[in-house]
Amino acid sequence: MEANTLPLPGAQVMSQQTEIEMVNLTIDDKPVTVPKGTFVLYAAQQAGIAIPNFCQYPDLRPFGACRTCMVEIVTKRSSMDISCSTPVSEGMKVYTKSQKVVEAQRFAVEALLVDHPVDCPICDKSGECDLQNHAYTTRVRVNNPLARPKMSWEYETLSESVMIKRDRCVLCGRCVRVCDELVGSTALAWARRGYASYIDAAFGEDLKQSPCVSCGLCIEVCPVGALLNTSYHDTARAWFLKRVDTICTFCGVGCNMQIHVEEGSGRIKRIMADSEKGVNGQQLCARGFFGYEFVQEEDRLTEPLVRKNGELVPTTWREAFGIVAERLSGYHGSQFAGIAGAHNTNEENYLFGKLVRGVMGSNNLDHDAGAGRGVRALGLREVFGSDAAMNSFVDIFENSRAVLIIGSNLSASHPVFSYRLQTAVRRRGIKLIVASPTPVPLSQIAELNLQYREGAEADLLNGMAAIIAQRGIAAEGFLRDRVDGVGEWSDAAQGYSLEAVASSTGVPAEMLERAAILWATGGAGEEGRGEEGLFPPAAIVYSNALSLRDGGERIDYGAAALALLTGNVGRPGAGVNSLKVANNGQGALDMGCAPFLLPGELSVEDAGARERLQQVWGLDRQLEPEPGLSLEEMTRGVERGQIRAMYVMGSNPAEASPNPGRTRDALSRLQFLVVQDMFLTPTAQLADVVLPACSWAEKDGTFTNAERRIQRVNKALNSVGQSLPDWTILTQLLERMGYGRLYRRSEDILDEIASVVPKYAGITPLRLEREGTVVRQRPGKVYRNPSVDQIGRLGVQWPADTEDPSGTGVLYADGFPDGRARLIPVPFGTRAPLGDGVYKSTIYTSLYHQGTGTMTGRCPTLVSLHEHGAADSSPERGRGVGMLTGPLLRQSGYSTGQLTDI
Amino acid sequence: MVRETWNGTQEDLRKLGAMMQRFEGRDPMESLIPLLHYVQDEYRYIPEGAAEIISDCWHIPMTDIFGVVTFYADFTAEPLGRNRMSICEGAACYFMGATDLAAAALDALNIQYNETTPDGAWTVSRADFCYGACHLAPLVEVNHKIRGPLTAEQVAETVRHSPANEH
Ligand code: SF4
Ligand code: SF4
Ligand code: SF4
Ligand code: FES
Ligand code: FES
Repeated sequence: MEANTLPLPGAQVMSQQTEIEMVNLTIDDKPVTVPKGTFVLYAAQQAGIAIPNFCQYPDLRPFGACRTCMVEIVTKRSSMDISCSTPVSEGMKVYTKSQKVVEAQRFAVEALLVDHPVDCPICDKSGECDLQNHAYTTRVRVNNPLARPKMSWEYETLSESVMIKRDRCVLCGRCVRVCDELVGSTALAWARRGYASYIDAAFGEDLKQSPCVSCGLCIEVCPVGALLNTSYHDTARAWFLKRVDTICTFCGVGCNMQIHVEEGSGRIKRIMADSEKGVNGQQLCARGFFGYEFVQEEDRLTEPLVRKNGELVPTTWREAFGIVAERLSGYHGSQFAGIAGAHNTNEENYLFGKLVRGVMGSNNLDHDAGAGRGVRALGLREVFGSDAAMNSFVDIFENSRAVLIIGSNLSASHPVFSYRLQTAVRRRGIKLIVASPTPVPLSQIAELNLQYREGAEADLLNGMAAIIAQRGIAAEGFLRDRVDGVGEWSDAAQGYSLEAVASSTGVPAEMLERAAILWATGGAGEEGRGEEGLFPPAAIVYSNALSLRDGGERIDYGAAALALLTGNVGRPGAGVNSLKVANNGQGALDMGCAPFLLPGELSVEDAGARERLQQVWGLDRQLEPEPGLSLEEMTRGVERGQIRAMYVMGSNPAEASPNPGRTRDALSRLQFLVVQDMFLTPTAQLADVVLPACSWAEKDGTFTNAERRIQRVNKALNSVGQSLPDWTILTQLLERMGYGRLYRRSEDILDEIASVVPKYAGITPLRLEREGTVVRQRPGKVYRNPSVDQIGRLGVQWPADTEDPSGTGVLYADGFPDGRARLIPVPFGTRAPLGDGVYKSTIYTSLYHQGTGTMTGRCPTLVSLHEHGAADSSPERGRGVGMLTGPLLRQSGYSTGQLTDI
Repeated sequence: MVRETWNGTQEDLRKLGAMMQRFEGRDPMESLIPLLHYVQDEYRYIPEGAAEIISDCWHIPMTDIFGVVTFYADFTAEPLGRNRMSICEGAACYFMGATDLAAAALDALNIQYNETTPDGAWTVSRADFCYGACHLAPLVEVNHKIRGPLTAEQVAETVRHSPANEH
């Protein structure tokens, strides 16, 4: 097969790679064609032929320790070799089932049975154990080949999340190697040697004291029942588990996962990554792996509640809908406000918008991940027309030559992104620059660490941009062709003298220069300019919380200036990537859950857009053209008597607000408050009607992750009690309010979204199931000698109206929505002097918890790993803020909240 | 020779620093084993606190250091006694009564194999290899010196004194 006939939908990742050479061979006489460098074992897998193995694992370097994967290989002559580390060659003949082969494999498996207890009846792994399977397929006949007493170990706990039963260990080393190579934690060790070897934490300490991040990957990859999941242990038999693919409900990485539900009891028993098809490879973080327990907590709301004589009492859905429909009909326009949830599906947020804008006629609509300020001041939208992250995760891992991370602890906000970036940095030698007031886990592998003063992000980024301009390493051609405002920007850049930036940021001048040059030249140095006047690609990555804080737009402008100056926009491996934090933060915005945005990031002031919506929604009334109030402004709106009724879906402003007391007062002053949630949150406690909603595991829909990838959420279990999916509640409510039965399935809403939201045009449920394919390079024997492998990735990245079935991997490759981008000057010295006793602080959130902990706080395993969110403090801040010397803090705000002791 | 246990004091840090300094400019991974020899000699084990410092300064994961420490018989993660006896249980010594020697030593000290007496005087271990000195069977190794053939009484007598304390 010709290299270029390789079917490569989703080939954005490929665009930089040179041709891939294909190799033809036969496996068990079946012809197979795979990319050069593929190991025989994977080639066989592609041909549907399974070869027993223990120590290979798709993303790891081959290890060759277990010898179970022996096959017969005929090239010039015949030989026996391990298939996991032998690359294919042209004309090779491989036999995997011959008697010789099976005998060799059986010998290797029998060797493992010398000490293995074969205690399958009480082992969690039974039924899905590689040792069971391989012993069976290789027809092992003896369980104790040496007939000597087997060594035996008791169950031991390595941490609150990981257990070990060492006598079941086959010493494949997968756990040690994934923890090192894929997670970057190096928390697990080989102890002793030879047959006495065992797996342990360093110096036998509690894993929790180690760099372990409780991601569960070691448990998931253990081929036998040696490493065990504490929360799954002894709770289910694998063969009773139904496995449902879905997407994680926590952060913007949007990991693909499988929920394992026990038939019969219908309860979630565990979650695994399982599929290789997601952006997460086979990885999850602690939240994804252990964060399902809230679904089955006792205090889930199981029936609608209505306030009678001051008390919330159970009622029927019929009565609840009746009350809500009737009471809501008493309010209209700006008297009403709605708060949507960034953890809700696109379908739900879209319907919620329809209720608030279309039915209630109000633009007072916001969601809980927009810093409460209605994300009005997003700098990136001003510069580029959208604030969405530009490049795909995988593209950054595979193509970036330099990555700048600023003001973010991605290891807590976007854990699996950080794990995979870590791997890419170590394997591909990406130049990583971490700018943060306090060290973060990724600092350890950074080429440069810029420890800047609190609040100096804008000076730092704009200062680096000024250095790039001054040194003449900017991409002049790109600026000329695609960017406006260069002259004005250059004038402002004069204000950024190296000395001034150094003293404002606290980063030494020499470091600033090195960082600017390293990043701008993609690590290639000032002489490394390639064709078209561009250096190798470099990306900027930060948590969108940074864009949302006070003055965040100046940070966005700075990041945009860096990228535009260097032509790092619209090409693979580049981009300004401000990652939404919540799993559907991007989707909530796309669905128009912001006071001034209609679905599709279209302005409410855009008459054409309003017109279209009115038509699709079948309204006889005009949509309001004035932007409404943001979440933060809503409090004042209630206080001044404007807002009288409110509907809150899946968010908890009474706790999450920067000023919870004031928000709570405002909420209790409302004439009518409806709260739709899974739990009786402090917000729900103030409601007049509480509608019990399902968790994400109990419903269908879609989430859009932080790289614009729309992915399917699938119902894994039945609703708890009488709770209903939010979209069903909204649909039935609309019906009660006289709008007819609009949607039978969540897919019907998606169809409507695809017809209304331009970026979602072309999305169909079927297309989301379809797999795009990327070619990924896997590490070969040595990192620099990779083997190549094709895998699919699920979901579609918007704009979806593309020939490529997987959508748009890199934004702005064909230009900007408004034709040209615009450099926006930022005057130097934005790190404003603070008043006495006022300190700026960057507080990174915890890996184990999210938001107000409505979900994570109800997961006993996560709570046992980390009871409270602990705050890191930089030295400067630590001195100034007395509270920070206290043991634990709680951040009760969005991005600029106040701190209270707990 | 007076040898200390690790308390993480200034003095400990200075000593470890001095040992690490000898490897300046050399590859950390290659220097690890020789460095651990110095540490083991000084402290009779590889203190976790020392390993942490080595890990931080030389950027070697704790797990790798732990792996090396437990892999090689020359290193231990627990403090060993001031005196070390290893009893050969190779074939020749075994037939000549190694188990009696072991029982005598362990009973006299009231410990098990691979344990250290509470006063830190003795550690007794089994040599699971042959010393290649079978003509001396049954033999024991005491503080790097081979002694044999020995009787159970002689072994019990040996451990009652503490050679390293006699200085
Ligand atoms: S849970 Fe994750 S970080 Fe912890 S030891 Fe296992 S693989 Fe490593
Ligand atoms: S604990 Fe499991 S993954 Fe780790 S070496 Fe043993 S068998 Fe392999
Ligand atoms: S919280 Fe984020 S990183 Fe963790 S599993 Fe979920 S989507 Fe992935
Ligand atoms: S899988 Fe090939 S040697 Fe273990
Ligand atoms: S068996 Fe003890 S020295 Fe050979």
